[in-house]
Amino acid sequence: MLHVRAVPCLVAAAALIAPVEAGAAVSPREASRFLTQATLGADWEEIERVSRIGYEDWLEDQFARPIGYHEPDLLRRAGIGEDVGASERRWSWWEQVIEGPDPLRQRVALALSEIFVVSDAVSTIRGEPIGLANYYDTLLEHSFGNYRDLLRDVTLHPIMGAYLSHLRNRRSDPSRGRFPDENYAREIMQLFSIGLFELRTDGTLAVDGTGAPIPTYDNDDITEFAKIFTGLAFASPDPDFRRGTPVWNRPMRMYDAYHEPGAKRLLRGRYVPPGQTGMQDIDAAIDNLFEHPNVGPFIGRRLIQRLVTSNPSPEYVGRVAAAFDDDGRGVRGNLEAVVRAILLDPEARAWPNRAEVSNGRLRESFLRRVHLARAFNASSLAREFPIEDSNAPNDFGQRPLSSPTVFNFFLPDYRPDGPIADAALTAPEFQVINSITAIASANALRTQIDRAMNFESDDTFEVRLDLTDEIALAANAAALVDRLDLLLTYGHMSARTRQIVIDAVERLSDPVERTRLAVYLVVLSPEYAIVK
Amino acid sequence: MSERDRRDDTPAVSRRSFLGQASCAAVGSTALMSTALDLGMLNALASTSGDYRALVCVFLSGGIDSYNVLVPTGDAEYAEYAAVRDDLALPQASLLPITPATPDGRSYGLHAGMPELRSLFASGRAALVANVGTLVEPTTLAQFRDRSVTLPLGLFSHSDQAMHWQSSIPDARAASGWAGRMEDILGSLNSNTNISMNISLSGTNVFQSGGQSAPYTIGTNGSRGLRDYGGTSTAARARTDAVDGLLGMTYQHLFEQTYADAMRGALDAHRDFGSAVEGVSLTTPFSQTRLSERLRMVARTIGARDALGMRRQTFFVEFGGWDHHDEVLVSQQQMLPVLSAALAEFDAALGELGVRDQVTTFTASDFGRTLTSNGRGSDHAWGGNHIVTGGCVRGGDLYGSYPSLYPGNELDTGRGRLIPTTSVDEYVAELALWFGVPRTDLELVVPNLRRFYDPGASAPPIGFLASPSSAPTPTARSGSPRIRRPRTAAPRTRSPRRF
Repeated sequence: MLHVRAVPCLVAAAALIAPVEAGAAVSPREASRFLTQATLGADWEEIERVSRIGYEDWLEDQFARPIGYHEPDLLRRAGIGEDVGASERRWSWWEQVIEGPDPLRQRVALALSEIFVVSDAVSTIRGEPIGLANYYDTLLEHSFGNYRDLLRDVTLHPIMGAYLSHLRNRRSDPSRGRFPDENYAREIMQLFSIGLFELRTDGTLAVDGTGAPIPTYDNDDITEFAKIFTGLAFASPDPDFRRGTPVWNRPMRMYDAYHEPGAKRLLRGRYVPPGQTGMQDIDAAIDNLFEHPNVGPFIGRRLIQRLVTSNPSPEYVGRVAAAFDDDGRGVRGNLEAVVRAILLDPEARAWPNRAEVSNGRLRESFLRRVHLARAFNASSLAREFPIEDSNAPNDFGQRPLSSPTVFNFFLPDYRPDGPIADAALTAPEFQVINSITAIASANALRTQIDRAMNFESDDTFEVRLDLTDEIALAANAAALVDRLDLLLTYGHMSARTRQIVIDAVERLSDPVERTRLAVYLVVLSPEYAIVK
Repeated sequence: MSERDRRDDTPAVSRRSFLGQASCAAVGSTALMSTALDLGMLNALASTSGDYRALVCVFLSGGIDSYNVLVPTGDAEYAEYAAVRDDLALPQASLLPITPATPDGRSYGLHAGMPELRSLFASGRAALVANVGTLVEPTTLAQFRDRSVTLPLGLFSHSDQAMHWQSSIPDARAASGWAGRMEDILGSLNSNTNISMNISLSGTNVFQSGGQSAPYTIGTNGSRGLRDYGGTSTAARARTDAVDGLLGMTYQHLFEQTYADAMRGALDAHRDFGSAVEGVSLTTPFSQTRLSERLRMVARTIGARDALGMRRQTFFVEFGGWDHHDEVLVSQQQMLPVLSAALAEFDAALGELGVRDQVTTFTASDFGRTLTSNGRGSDHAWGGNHIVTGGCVRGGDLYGSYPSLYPGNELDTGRGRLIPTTSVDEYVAELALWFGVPRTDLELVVPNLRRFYDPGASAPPIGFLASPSSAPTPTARSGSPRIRRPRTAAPRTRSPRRF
């Protein structure tokens, strides 16, 4: 492959990263851009690695990495008598996101958490940090596994059961006019698997003879599926559907006496026969959804939007859906194949053309904070990450696992008024950008750059960015900005943005102040905000 | 200053609608403006007449179980209610009795957690509207069953139904809200071009989208400024100049331009908003709930209306967490008092500001919920009951048609999912007319309205806001032709989007 390497701005930066071997597979800036898609933010270590071994080998290596689980640290804390609350769960999240062995997996799991949404905005879930971490670990575990297993384990997780209220959902009681809870039945179809309308394999809407979209299910289907998701409750040591001791980090179990008996109609002409166990019913329903042709384009498009671009071409969605349908070895639902297809697709890998006006996506508001932490090796002297993020929902409009509703922080088809809506494009991440978050997030990022990511009376626990290498370059504003360009904007910063930042830096003298201002301005710039 | 920084401050004279001084003036009356009135006279009137109106949307997101907000209390009707609601039924004796001015043969009570709402109702500043919901056209149970009517898209789905309530276009997934469309018609009455007519306390929403200026979001403490922006130290000046440079450039990439506009707009609006609202303090006490704090900020913003140059404003305030598939009784016991207290506190603050007659507050929600129980809660349904408060509200009464609740009644599509008897379109039209949308423009705001209501009728769509007979009509404004620029012709240059 031929790459443009003779970019002068790389010289200074390259001196501060591990030497890229001759014959490197990928240029540093291409590696950096790849990592804006494949991780929660590029850092030097991964830029160097991708440059050296290339995309494919990097992916294979990531697929084989050990998993950076979030629950163990909480169990460890609980084991030594420490408090384990919602805060400690976030600390564990940050530790794995910054230091975990599996940056690709952490990226995909976060994307999955914005599809299979649960939220600690609900007090029950906020009060169960170990269960919530276990739920996140379930997403991590299946990130490169099979979608069917993911859908089943999500369905059976007590955190999801509490969030969408199928935990302790009972069979109907005709004598009292009671019916099964429809909540999970609806959202598993609308949000987790097939969506509202029949899709073509490229993700575009199928239409009937009158040009109208074709619903995938109606309310009668929901009442049927609601019967399926009855009888699940905690896998308690004292098994009791109604009063068993809550166990939040093991799958729910079936209590068949509370499961709706009889046949149930599934989608697309299928039925479950009467007389099956509850768990057989659930497996049949999961299979019924899993086999629906919508899943590949539905889930594929959502993952493309989170990782690469808001407006993938139908061809791109089609190629990813094809990988979902068959991983090349005849297996349906292999998410490793889906992730590989998303990241290696020509549409993801083509170097962005400056003439394009709608490629890429807005960086998720909160992920700017994560990227800074990763890019500048945020850490504390105590090697802990006690980051509270208590203001993040207000400042950034989002915080992982704190969505206001099961519909996530933003809808996949959201389009802000103005040129994006006028062009009939989608830009989901803009839904959390408003006149409060646009400014408050910039202030919060500045605090992160200038000071720390948390406030601790004992400053050995304050998590700070390490700007040492940048400060060393600060006497040369151009060299400083070029280094930041490669790390933060994958060497794609325009000459005019670069000049504005350089001019500002040159008005200051203190190297630390120069560095902090440069990082702030790059991160605030529209060219950083939009990943192309 | 770049091209995009130039504000379109051309007065859109022809789009102004002169609506008179009497805030409780007839919803049913024909609002006209005379082209004979010159602009200066209009402006003079505007600045001195107190011509100001605000609509406050309290969006109860998640779909409130509103058949436990307003409950029939007569023995026979209560027995039906208790039978269908089973374990979700409120005790008959717990309900707070209310007496609607217009008898319908039933007696009613409010949830025990809403004494403040009952007081507002009794004092004539709160009305209830029964069984409102999204409809594409009038719908009977037979038509629903044989699918001979067009139904709202995505019936019973949160995202779709919340969108339809906010767009009033239930047969399309429209991103344009009815406040956004009102802004197209009335936004130019406001002299401030940095701050939209539409202000959100809850971020992005459909209700206020689609207008010429995107809604302006504030928080419970008002607007936010960028730290050190505009400061005088060397460092602050370097920072400010660079920020201005980065946000002032023209970007070819639509996403970059949208992002730059969002930040630029926020900085510009804060300059006006922050100082104007800082000067308004209220003595009315508010509870320390997020809803109350948001409504206090709305009241303070209304208090700053003259400083802000505002004559028409909408406010969007979300109060979420009503999706009670389980724990509906316990949750409502906690949440309805929050709603009730906040509405009363807001009413008191408006009294303190002397603008009760100029502000109407209404509830909206994704949908009502099933009358039947799932053993712990209720599921997604359709029609629901709503609350309207304000000095112009013909309060102390129940509007629309409160349905029978027994299973299998003439509106029951199953499980007690009731077909609405009043459409969102009618509810919106009533509010829009009061807000000052001319009848001739009403269908721009509520495109399907004619399926439920003749926009040229003399009677109001529902009647819960001041009627022609109860308030003076604007005088001496008949006979002159009114010129309105059609939306499609010669649109104003778009100002930078604000968020």
